[in-house]
Amino acid sequence: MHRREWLSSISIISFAGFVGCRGYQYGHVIKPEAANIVGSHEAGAEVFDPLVDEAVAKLLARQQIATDDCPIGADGLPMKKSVCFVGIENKSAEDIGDFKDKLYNQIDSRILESNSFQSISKRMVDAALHETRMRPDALMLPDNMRLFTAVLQRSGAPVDFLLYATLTSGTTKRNSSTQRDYELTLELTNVHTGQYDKLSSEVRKGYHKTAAGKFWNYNPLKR
Amino acid sequence: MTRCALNAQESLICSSCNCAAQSRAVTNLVLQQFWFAQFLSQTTVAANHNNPQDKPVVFSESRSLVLRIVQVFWLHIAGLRQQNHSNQVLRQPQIFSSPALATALVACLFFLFSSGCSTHSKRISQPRNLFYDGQLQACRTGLEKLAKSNRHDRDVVNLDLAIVDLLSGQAKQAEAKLRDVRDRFDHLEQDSITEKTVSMWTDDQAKSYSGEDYEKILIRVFLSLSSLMHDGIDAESYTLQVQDKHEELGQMFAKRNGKAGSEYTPLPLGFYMRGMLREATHRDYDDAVRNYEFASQLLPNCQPLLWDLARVRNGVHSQPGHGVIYVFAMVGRGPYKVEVAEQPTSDALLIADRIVSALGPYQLPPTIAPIKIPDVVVPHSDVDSVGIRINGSPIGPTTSLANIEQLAVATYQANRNSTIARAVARRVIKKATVAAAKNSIGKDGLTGIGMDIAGIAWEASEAADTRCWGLLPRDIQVLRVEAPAGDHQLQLNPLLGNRPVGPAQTTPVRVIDGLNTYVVCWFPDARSVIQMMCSNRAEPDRIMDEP
Repeated sequence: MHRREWLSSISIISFAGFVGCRGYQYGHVIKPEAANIVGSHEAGAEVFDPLVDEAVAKLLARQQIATDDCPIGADGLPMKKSVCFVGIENKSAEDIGDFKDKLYNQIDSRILESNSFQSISKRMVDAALHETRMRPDALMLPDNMRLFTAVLQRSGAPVDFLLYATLTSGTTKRNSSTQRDYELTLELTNVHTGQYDKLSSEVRKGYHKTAAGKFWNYNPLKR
Repeated sequence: MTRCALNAQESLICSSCNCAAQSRAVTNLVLQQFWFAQFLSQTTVAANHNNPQDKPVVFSESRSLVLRIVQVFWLHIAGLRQQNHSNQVLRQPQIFSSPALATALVACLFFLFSSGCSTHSKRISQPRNLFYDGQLQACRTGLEKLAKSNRHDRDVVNLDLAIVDLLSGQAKQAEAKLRDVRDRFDHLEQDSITEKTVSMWTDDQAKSYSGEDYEKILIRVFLSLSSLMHDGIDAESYTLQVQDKHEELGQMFAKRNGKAGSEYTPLPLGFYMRGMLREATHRDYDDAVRNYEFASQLLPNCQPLLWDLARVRNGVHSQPGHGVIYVFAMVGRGPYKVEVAEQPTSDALLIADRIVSALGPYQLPPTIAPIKIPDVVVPHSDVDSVGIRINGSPIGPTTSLANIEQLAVATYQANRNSTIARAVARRVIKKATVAAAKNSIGKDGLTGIGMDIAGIAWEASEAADTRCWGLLPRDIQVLRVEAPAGDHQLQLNPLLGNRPVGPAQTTPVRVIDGLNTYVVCWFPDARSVIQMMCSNRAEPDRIMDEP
């Protein structure tokens, strides 16, 4: 090896050294109108945001019709119905991690913004669950429901409706492609009459091992 | 054509004359080397067997070195270094134009890159012993000194400091330190070619330590525990990070090994803690079921996990007027790395360099200094669980949810081959550098011997990378106890085979209606001082008499 060759090898190694330096991490604020990132392995904001929007909009639209014959308050406006949002149950194939509390707040805020309902604070709901030591899924039993609503009533939050949200999924597989249908169901139960209403929204999503998977499975020529 | 200078008996591969006896000579050489290598390996193995596990194998190392020097001299006497004929046949590569430049380069490389024989395991041994003796303040002083003096040790020393902080009641400081190291390790997961290149001229200690996989998970577990021990605000986030990290490491494992990620074994403790916190909301039982199911799949024979699973499926967190105590027991002294000589590889390399020196145009420095690699040591433990009593009533022993010993050994085994391969490649680079320098200034005479000695010293300056989180327990065990709200006396007793082996430790705890109380304790062995910390410590005069 000549000196020139040796020096060129050293230069290449040094250059490689600079190229291989550890980088930093950067962040940026996403504009509200910008599209969400589409999760490559599981559902994220791109699935949950439209699910919540659609399900809550359907619920409010249907209940708007139902509230037309509700009692009128002292101000001459229909009285808002009190809703206790008990919680979200995740029965899907994926762990939703930190999305659970976000979904709760998202649904709760939308209901609160509407003119039809007055939602009860999550902290009061948690305190009532804590005090009664009841599981959320056990509240449908008449005795449990009476006890639970009595605790909330005593705290100054009378309840007209119990609201449950359930996230479910269905998975279809085809070779290296998978389609997962996510469904958010809102169940509204009237604690006075026992009547219940149910609405759901669905978003379908495809996962592929190759970039061509989307075109191969969802092109217009397919059935 | 140049005539071969060697006689027929000792001639080796020579492209110019094709001597008939060359293959016989090579066979003899290899057989002799093999015999010596076998002898050397057996002697070293015997010496290691006779040594106590925790003591450094100084005697065996020095004996091995002496034997190796004898071996090299024996080879020299056998006349295997006589083939200077090829030097005249082949054109010598010229890297350096002057001998002074070559000597200066080798000397610079040696002095710049020799990292000394000190390893992390040697530096950390004193603070570790102080920790197990219960001298937390002295241990902290030693660790802080070490963190200041050695830049490359700082992260692992900070992990040890976090444990000291946690057990001395400074959970907030522990959380801050763990958070820093977590972020550093995440950053260091990116490859740095600069460090990789430098480590090829020195040793693996030149690279920044980015943590073993199990350490990355345990950092988040201890973060969660630290948070629970003071305000608990970020505890849930840390448990989510445990799951994220599990997923990320599984994907990295699959990418690295070209195998399915299902072979990656996560820690059940992370899932358990997530389930524990979700259950404590009294609302998200579905999350608790999901996480306990994960943990139960990883530990199918763990009965307490099945009880937890049954409770969150059909029951409630606790009965009205009751709360729950979670005891997190750190049991035994955890694994740590020590430096060992990789004898078979060193012997193979010695044979290889002697053959190359004998047959080829290059005279390589002999592999006298053995190749050093880290090995995992798990100290013997005379405690295998902790017995719990509340106000004198026996509750039961703790259950293992994180077998750190098993994880450390499995991680070491998975990476051992690549560590050895790196060490061999490093030796080859060093030998090639010395050979190239020698060729430029002539390999005969005192200069050649001097270069050989410098090369051997450069190789001997290598040390194994023994950095690891040294103050981990051997096992993390958990016990869940439901108790009436109020103040209680919690008694913890080290057990071996369900029999008490040491004095019991008592601490007052306060149970709050519907909430969790966390107790973290450390039982290194039956004789060590037990460290304990409680998230809700009771006032001793308000202890209830009955459970």
